[in-house]
Amino acid sequence: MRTLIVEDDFVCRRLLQSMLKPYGEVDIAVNGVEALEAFKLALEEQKCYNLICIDILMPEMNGQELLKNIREYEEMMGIYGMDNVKIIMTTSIGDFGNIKSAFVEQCDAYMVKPIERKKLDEKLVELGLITVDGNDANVH
Amino acid sequence: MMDEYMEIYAAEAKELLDEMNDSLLKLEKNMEDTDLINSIFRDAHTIKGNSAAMGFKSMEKLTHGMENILQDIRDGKAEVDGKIMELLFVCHDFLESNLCTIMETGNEEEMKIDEILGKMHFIIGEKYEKQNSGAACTIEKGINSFGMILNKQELQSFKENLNADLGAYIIKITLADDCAFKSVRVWMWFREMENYLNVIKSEPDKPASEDIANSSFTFEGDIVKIFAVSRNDSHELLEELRKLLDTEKIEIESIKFEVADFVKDQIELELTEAALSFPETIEKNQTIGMENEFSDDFINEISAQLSKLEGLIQTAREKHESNSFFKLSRPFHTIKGLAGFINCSLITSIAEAAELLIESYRKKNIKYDDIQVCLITESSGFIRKLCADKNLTHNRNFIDSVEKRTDEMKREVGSEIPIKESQAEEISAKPDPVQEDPKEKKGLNNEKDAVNSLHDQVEKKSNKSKDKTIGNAFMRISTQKIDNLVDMLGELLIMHSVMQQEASKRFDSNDKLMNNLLRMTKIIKGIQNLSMSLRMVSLKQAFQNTMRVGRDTAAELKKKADIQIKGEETEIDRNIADRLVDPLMHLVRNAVAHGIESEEERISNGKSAEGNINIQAYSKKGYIYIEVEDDGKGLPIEKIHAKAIEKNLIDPNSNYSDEEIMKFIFLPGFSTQETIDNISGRGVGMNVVETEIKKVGGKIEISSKLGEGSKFILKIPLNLAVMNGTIVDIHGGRYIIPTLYIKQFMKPDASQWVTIKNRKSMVRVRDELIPIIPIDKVFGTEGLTEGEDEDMVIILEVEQKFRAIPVRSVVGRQEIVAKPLDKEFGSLDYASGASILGDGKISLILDVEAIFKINNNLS
Repeated sequence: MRTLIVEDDFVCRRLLQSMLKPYGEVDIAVNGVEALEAFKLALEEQKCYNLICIDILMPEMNGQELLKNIREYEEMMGIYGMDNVKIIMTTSIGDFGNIKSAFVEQCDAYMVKPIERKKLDEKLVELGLITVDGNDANVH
Repeated sequence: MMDEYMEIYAAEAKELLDEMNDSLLKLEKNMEDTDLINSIFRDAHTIKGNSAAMGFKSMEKLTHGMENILQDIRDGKAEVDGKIMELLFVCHDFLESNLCTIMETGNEEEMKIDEILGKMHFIIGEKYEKQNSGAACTIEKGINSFGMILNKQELQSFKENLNADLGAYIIKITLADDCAFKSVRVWMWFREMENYLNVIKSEPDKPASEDIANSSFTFEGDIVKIFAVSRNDSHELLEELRKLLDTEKIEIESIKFEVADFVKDQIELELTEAALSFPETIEKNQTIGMENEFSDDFINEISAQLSKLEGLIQTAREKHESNSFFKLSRPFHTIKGLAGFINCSLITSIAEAAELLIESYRKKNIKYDDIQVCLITESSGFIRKLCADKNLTHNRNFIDSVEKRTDEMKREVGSEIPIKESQAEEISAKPDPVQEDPKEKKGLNNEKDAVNSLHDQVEKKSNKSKDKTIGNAFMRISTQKIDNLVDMLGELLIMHSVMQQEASKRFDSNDKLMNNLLRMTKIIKGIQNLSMSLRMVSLKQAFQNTMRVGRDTAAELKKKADIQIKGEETEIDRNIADRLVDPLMHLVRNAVAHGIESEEERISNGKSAEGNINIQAYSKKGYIYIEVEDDGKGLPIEKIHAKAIEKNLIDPNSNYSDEEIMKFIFLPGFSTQETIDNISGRGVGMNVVETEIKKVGGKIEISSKLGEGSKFILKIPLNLAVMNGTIVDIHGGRYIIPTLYIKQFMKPDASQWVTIKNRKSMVRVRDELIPIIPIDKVFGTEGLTEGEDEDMVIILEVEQKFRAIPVRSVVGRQEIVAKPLDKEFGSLDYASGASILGDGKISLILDVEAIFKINNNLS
């Protein structure tokens, strides 16, 4: 499973990275602009990401914008519905406005920091990215 | 692994706190600046997030408190003023102190942040009082009578005990009918409740521990009413209260007081419909999910999405085409997510089934069919019903019919090629859309955009490195790595030097090899400069604290001082920067405390009321200069002289020039009475400052004028590790003398030697007599060397004092890399290090200042 973590806090992204490393490669971007680049590049190289974890409060392009841009790009490239990359918002913002906005823009899950490893694993199973015994579901 | 995170966390938190400090100082000067407020908010927010991730609750709570204040300011509910600035500074300082404790011990301080949070609450509260006087009491009259009244006194005492961390609650517990010993039971309740709440008032009155033993507490009623405060929220409290035995019913409601309430004569507490109650509450929780505060918002949004769905379904029906049908998966996906967040599994499963179904139709490119729409419409109907009536989640019939439908839908999906299982055809038939579509687009339509975007990406790809970790413009590197790098480069330089020497012996200077070696020298020097610059940091860090210190000292002493800093971008070796922090703080503190006069004094002397302290840093000729200048009253020469005599530090009979007297302040033991010592708490007196500066190889100069001000100039060499050294031969041994101490070489003729008792003890240079240092005495090799054939002298200068050392010859002068001497060589007090010279032999580097001192002691 290939993951992209988009997070500008050093500590937070290192923690997330350690939680996701067991399942495969983890790449990092520190703001929305880089993340979008990384995402497009990965698609082009046919090594697209299975999961993207996005923080909301970031410089340059915030998480909500990034989410929107990724989905728009996917649509433009003819990727629809369940073929879309799974996106989990991993942010400390937990107000309804942001949650609603993220879901409306088609994120797949919303997790408010601090993120527990167990909860993250549960989400990954729910999204079909890993099997119940913690192995890469090898979907792509 | 945690250690690594700890380091990173601490480094980042420190950086953020420094930034916050900077912003706070600026904000104080310009209280309306919203950018600053936002920046401080962001810093607090980031620290909060990181601290929460690391589990540091106090940090989290405190930053959260700061956020609250700042948010109120942003919302216009409060304005920045002196009190708020004080508060924010206090918060910052506490955070800093807590961070130190964390770094030292790995854990937070046993900090009573309640104090600060309480302070926060009152400062804000006081502000609100002014703004909100006249606000109406908003405690609603409810259906359930609670019937407890708080009188003015009780209100006041309650207010005094309330702080931002606590919530106020009214609790009504109904005793079970069959309870055997009511008094005992209720007494036990009160005991247990002490663990998580503080009773302000209750009916019956809270019994003391002894009351049950001496039978002075009796209770015959059915209901206990309590008005209490607690750190927990109402849900947590309810959970705790449920553990009490013999309870029939528990009702709890949190109470928010308005400021105006506190001035009333009495308040009647009421239990409203909003109260949580057990046993009913638990079921309510189960229906929708734990996020009670949210679930209504979510349900509303889900309903909104359903309306969107219904609209799309209508369109699909009218247009009778697949595309509008496929668009339906979006709202279902959104509903699935929203319901998933509030843990409503029933809605989630319906939405998921619907989404999968639509997806499968899209994949198989199935033509639009009314039947599909029916299935989807029914799903949407189910969700509608659930939103309207949360209790349906318990309704067995409802659940059954839902399950039936979702099973049907899944079968529909599975009846053709399943989506999630991989089958070879499927994978190749469903190629990566990226691969296929752009090519299609390219071949079919020549859509310019698609082609161009592909071009762009191809170009970018070749420019980007293979490594996907896309970095910032800056990188964090451990200082350890850099130090290692610098060390190794030093070695490289030495080896190169050795090689060059060897080569020059064997080869002609015109030989190609020599030219190449020369080129190499240039490159190595270049790398060395670069590596030294890696260790350079701007003085900004070091100056950070000085601003605060100046400001705090001025505030404490009730003086007015404006501190200006110039040249903080000047770079200096990281280690040196660290060691400059304390001396700088000291100098600034002194400038404010001793230099700058009080407002009245200044005005009466025709000066501006506000004192000026200018700190300036610049680099020149391989040295960094830092000047701390004030326009205060200048160094009191007479007083200093008198004090030095008083403390027996100088000879009372000698005459000293003004400059020399000024330097007395550096004498050990000369510290003046420090009235403020809580700012740095490390070392007292200018003596320590001078020592520190000396340690980094620098010196301090003073220039001062009575009544006008003083200026302290720090002169620090940029490059210690690599210095210019002169190699000399003393009694056959080779030693290195740092060139900066050498005033001149000379070969005295017979008339210039001054002999006393048959020993050459001085040398005449022009009109001065310069004492000779008997170097063999210093080295401890007296009598061990053969003859005095030292016919050259080197004249050394330390702080305007001159001494001469006889040497046999001067061998050369070159850049040397100084290596420190290990502990075993500690007895060699005349050497400050060693170096490997070009021929591979080791030479000691003489510590000239130490030699001067030793020489003084000898005589």
